[in-house]
Amino acid sequence: MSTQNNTRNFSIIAHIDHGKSTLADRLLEYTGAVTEREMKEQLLDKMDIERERGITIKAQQVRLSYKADDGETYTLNLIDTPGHVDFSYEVSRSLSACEGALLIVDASQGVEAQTLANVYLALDNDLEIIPVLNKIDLPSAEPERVKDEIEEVIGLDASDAIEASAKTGIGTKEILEAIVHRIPPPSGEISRPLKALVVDSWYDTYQGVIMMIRVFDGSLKRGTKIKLMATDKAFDIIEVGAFYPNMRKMDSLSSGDVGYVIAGIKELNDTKVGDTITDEQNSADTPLPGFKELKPMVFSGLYPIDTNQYEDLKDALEKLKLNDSSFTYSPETSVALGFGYRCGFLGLLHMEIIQERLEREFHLNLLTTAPSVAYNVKTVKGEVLTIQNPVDLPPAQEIDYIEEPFIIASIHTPGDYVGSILALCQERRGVQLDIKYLSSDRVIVEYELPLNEVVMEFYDRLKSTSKGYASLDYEMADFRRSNLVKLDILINAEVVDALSLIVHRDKAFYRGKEIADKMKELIPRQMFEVAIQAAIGTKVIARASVKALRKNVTAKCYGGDISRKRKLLEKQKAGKKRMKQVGRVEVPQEAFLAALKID
Amino acid sequence: MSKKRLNTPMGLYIHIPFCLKKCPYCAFNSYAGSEVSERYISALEKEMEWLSSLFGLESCAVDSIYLGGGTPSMLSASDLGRLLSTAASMFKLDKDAEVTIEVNPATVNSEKLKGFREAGINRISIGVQSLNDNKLNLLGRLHSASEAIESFRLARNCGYKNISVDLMTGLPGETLRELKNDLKELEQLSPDHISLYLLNIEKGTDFFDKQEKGELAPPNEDIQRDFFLRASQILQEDGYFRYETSNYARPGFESRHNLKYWTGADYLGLGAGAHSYLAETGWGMRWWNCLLPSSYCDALEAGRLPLEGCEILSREEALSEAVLTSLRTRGGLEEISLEKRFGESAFKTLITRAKELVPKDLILLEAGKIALTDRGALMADEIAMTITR
Repeated sequence: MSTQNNTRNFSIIAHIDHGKSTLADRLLEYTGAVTEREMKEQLLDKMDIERERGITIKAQQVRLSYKADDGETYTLNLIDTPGHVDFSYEVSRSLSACEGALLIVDASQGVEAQTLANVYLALDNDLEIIPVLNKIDLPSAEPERVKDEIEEVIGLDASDAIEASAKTGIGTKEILEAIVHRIPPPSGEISRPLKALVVDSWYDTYQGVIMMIRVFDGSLKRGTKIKLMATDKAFDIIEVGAFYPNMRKMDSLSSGDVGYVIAGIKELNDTKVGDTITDEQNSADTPLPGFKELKPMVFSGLYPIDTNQYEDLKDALEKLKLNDSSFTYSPETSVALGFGYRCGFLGLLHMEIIQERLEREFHLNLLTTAPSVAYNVKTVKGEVLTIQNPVDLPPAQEIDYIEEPFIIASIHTPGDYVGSILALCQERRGVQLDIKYLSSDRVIVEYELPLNEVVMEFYDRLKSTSKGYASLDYEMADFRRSNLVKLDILINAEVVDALSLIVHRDKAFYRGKEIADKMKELIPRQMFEVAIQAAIGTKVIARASVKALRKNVTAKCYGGDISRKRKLLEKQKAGKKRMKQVGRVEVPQEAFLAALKID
Repeated sequence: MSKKRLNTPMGLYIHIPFCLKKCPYCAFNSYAGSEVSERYISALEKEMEWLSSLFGLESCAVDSIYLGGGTPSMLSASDLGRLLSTAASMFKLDKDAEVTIEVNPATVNSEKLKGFREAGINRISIGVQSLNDNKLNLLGRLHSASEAIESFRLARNCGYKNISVDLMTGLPGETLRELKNDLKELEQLSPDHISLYLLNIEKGTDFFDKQEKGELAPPNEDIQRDFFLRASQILQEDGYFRYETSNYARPGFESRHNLKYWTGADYLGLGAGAHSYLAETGWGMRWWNCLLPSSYCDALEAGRLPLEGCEILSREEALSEAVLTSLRTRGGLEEISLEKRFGESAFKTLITRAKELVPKDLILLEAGKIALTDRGALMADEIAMTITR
């Protein structure tokens, strides 16, 4: 067992594609944690989806043993953090388990938005940061320019930044030496009452919940009765150990160590990320700082396209929830779409990942409604309601005011696109905070934006407006009072629940018209005229109509035509059965989707 | 196969799939450039023999024979005579059976028409299409307006008392004035029966290809609708009533044969690609022959039926067909006949849906009957689909 002085806990901060996982692989190889034969590209990203998209969703950890040039052997704990803003809380917990971090910056591309956010989190946690310029072997590498940028944008001394290539292995040893010499050993006392941080937790079918922890004070071993301070629940430890990177049992974990704990826990909800573990007999007075309950911010309805898959969807959601306590779901019915679930996500990426896993791992064919956000509604009676679905919004006369969530967005872009990005942000009701011109091809634009405006295809617009160059990062800010209204869509005077949405009053007309026009295109002509209206309360603000169908008959229907004609009608009938009936009007599912997706 | 005798007289359809030239709008099973061969005539005779003995139809009454095409008027009078006498020997042909042949004005003269009459034809259906040479040209017909008029007069002079004329309207670019002129000229001929078709562009035709390439404007539905309503009104004023979507007749001159298709009566289809229907088993069965005349002949020469496909209808399919076809007729969907076949609640369900879902100006709801107005007739397929859902 290593001593606390010879332990280094560190993590790696990098933008997607800047080579984090590849570098981690080199470190594992160099220290002999895995043999080349065992080496599968990017070992730490366990899920297919992570490997494919180059992002880490759950935290991962590996314990490395390194014999340094000073002759001593060190234990290096690498904690790989999730790489996206939707998981910034998890990132901050992972970082707080470390004393230092490697900051990987692509030597040709420079600092990116996501990197920046995580560097700030690391600095907030007082981490020692070691800049690494990766992909130094590429002809386009500009180490001096990127060093300047690190100093200018982040305010970090980059004079001793390490030049490396995770692909070829250049700089791996220098990085390991820097970890040993520049990152401080863990502080903390083995003699004090146990304090360990829950860095992450997940559910294993055989062993129940497994917690990844960082011990700050005290120690724990098999048999220790632990208490989770936020949930106030106690469990007996069955096993402790570390990741090499596979789980390996150990006698105990003590201050400074990173490892895992298994304690016969059945519910993932009992082990919240950021919670503090202490000894039930000899309890710490205060928990570690920074614990937060995570709340979903973005909501969307998920409906099986084939209604027979409803039960399968339910099972799949239950299974996903086992390993992701930040994701929520509850049954929902829609006149238009039938039975489904309203799901809550931390952010857009989280939503995309869940949807993708449902479709890919569970083979479900889903229809997803437009994402919406949670609103706080103050009623005239003084109640405060949280509204996740526009349908639940009380009538206007019962509402005192509505608050909506805002984010602070940081957009990195080449200078050429600044104009159109500013226009986009203004159009989305943004408030400009700052524009930093680092160079002609690197500008950082900061805006406060309503989350509501960001969830509706803001990202796609940003990408198309900047030919794919701009990148977006954001953090949640707060709830603010806004002039919001519920926009209803009526088909032949009947409100279509699935199409109701909450919008800013100034945008209601435009959105209403857009949706009505789109529906008009997609609803087939029927035997009567179909009126489509967009309304706020009883006030119609936009309308469109689908003219009545005047002719549908075959001119000739003799002996040979009858069965052909019948089959054709049967086919059309089957098509109609897939349509949703709103009053007498048959509305194809595509019409709902298109209206929901409209931008 | 059981030798069950049919209760009601049945119809015979004989398909002659040969033409001088294929018309650019025609999607029927027909082949240009070949004569009607001895081989094909014999095959038709064999098929009659086969079916008659297979289903035990020797003593089954046949009250209509219809020779369609293609261009059946390419047949010689003697071949036609052979076919009709074979039919009379294989089935029990009614004395006053309706015996129709479709005639292309470009293929007949006085002698031939007389020959047909002597062979047993008592009704002819002339493919006039239009009495306007521009329209005829667009439709790729091989005859002029005056030739069409001439063949009509010849037929009358030969003594035909039941003459039908096919007209086509709703062509791209056609004006209402042109339609009215067609109808006016037609009135002077005073046919007994008129089939007035709105041009429908079907897959596999020259018109379809041209439309795809953008060389031909698709028919305008609103214009077609106006033409249809106007024509129906004019013809009614002239003493023709519309007894089916596209068919008009002076009282008593409705096509007995075609009514069989719309009322669910039995018919045998003979020849390449022909369809047959017998209400014999369960909810009815239907079969159809292979399309190519050579394969058709091969099969019969080898002692096989020239079957291409066959279906045994389910109750739901039979009901669907009944609604689809009867809504095309003036008589509409009748409670009595429907309940006899499909049980008591069948009609009630349909009428409830019709009341709920079909706009009132399209439908006539009388006691025990659902029929369509002229406007409704243009929506017959849509309405059939809606009320049988």
